[in-house]
Amino acid sequence: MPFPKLVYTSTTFPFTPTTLPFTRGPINFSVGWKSRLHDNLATSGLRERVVEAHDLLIAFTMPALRVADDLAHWTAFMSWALDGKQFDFYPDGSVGTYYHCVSDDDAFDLTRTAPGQYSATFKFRIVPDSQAPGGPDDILGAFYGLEWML
Amino acid sequence: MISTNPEWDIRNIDLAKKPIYAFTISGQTPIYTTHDLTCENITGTLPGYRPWLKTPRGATQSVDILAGSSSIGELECEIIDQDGALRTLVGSTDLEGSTVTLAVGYPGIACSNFVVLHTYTLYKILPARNYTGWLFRARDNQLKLKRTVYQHPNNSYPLDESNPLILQGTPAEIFQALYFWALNRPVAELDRSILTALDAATEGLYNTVRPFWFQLTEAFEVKQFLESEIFKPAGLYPVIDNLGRLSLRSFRPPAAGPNPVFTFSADNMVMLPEIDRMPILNEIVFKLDDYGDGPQTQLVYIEATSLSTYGRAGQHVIQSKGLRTVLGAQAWCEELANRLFRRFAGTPAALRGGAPVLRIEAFLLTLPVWLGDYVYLSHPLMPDILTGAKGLTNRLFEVIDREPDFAAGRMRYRLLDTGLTGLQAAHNWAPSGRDFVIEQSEIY
Repeated sequence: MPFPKLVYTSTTFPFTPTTLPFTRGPINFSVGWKSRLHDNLATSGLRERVVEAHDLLIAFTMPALRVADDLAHWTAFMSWALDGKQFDFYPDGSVGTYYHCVSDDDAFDLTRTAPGQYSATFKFRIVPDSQAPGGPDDILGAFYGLEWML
Repeated sequence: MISTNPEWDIRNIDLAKKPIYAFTISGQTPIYTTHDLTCENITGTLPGYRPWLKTPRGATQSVDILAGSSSIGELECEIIDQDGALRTLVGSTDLEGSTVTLAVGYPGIACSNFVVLHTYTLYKILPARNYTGWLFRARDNQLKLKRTVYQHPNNSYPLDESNPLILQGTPAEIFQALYFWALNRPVAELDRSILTALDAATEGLYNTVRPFWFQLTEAFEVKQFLESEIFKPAGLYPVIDNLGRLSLRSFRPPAAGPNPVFTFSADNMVMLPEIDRMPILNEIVFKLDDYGDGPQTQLVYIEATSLSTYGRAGQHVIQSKGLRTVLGAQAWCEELANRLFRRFAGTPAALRGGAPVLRIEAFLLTLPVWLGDYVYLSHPLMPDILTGAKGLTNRLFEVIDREPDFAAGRMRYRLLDTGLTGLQAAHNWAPSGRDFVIEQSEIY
């Protein structure tokens, strides 16, 4: 199964896109809707639901980021993402489907798992624009390489 | 009730809805929205937009019927600043004084069918906390009434004894004269259809008496002058409509009877209505005939039944330098006193206190209801304080406070009992109008 990839734009001239390929695969890849809504319950029991948005969130863990290997690339990426800037997330790095995302993290915490090896968790919020998927199943389908079914 | 359209109405009454708010600054593109209009399938020609708007609270407006006054509404919209675009705009453009509008639509409707909720004037722009966005604060057009007039509009010389500003006519005529000539504001800022309707012969408000004549010889603030000298003595109060137009409402119902625009019920209220009472009013003092050396006439009206039941309660003083006995002001005062007593004196006996006033919270779908509207309220659990029965059906109220909370998806209102429930209008015009029954009717 191909790994995902991330593409973000360099802040320095000539502003070329930087690609962050996943050297090793993510684990605990999960996707879901988190809704922002308000329920008004009438005395009679009728309910009015006022929806602000159904936010699409992606979470995963990278269990093996290695010093002198891919950790430097992830650090550069998180330096970009923690600034609140937008990037493209490809659930399957071998095909063209991608979503505009921003990081929902406010930290880049590295947990030691072995000498020179660290793990980190990531949470992405999908930007609700024309590039956004219809729902979590679209993202999972792309992640598992099932785009032909979508 | 604000004007809507069928496409919007269908979405609005849906019990599952996703409101999309759009904030527009006149002369500026893009507009700012809470959602991506393309993704939400908004049809028609879309303006340039940025989906950076946080859902605002909305602007509260309330009226004090007895004082003839209305609060100045304030709207605050927070827009997220992406890549410093707003910082650049705010730092390079004079936006203060611009007209701003807040509109609401729903997914799938035409862009042109968004309904305007507020039209205000921008007066302050501040960075949001943490500098992540900008706060755009705007006030309603009553702000324009806060100006002081110190020059005669005809000759631009200061107002004084030798150069007085004479104002005469109905309240609506004087209001317009001041707005257009003294303040030099455009016609489009007034809801002239309502003002014309108030003066219409069919309403009968000023058919026999036009009691106001002012000779103004010193500077005055227009809002304060209108409210204390004209609106209060005339039983009127100002209202800003959703298009930002100034309008007037009479606390006397229309001649054809009140027209309830909405029914609040257990199906659309999210709490049991909180019941309170207005203060009892059983003594009204009018001070009039002021020719420059203080009021020469004082009229005292007492509601005897109320006085004997409740003792001396609130005294309501109405003083106007423009009320003139020679123009029929005393008859006017008597008529007004009768109407105030009928509503606020705690009579008829079944009322057993001041006019009921309710505080309610309701579904967002009630948002077209506006200040000054007549509404019905029905609730199976609410005690009918007039009869002791449980439950209330189609009791007629007047909206005196409207507090939207779009951010929480909810509306709040204060409703004042009209005391008109079940009463017939004095007449109906064609085609099946019954005869005039003004003598017996309390609605005319």
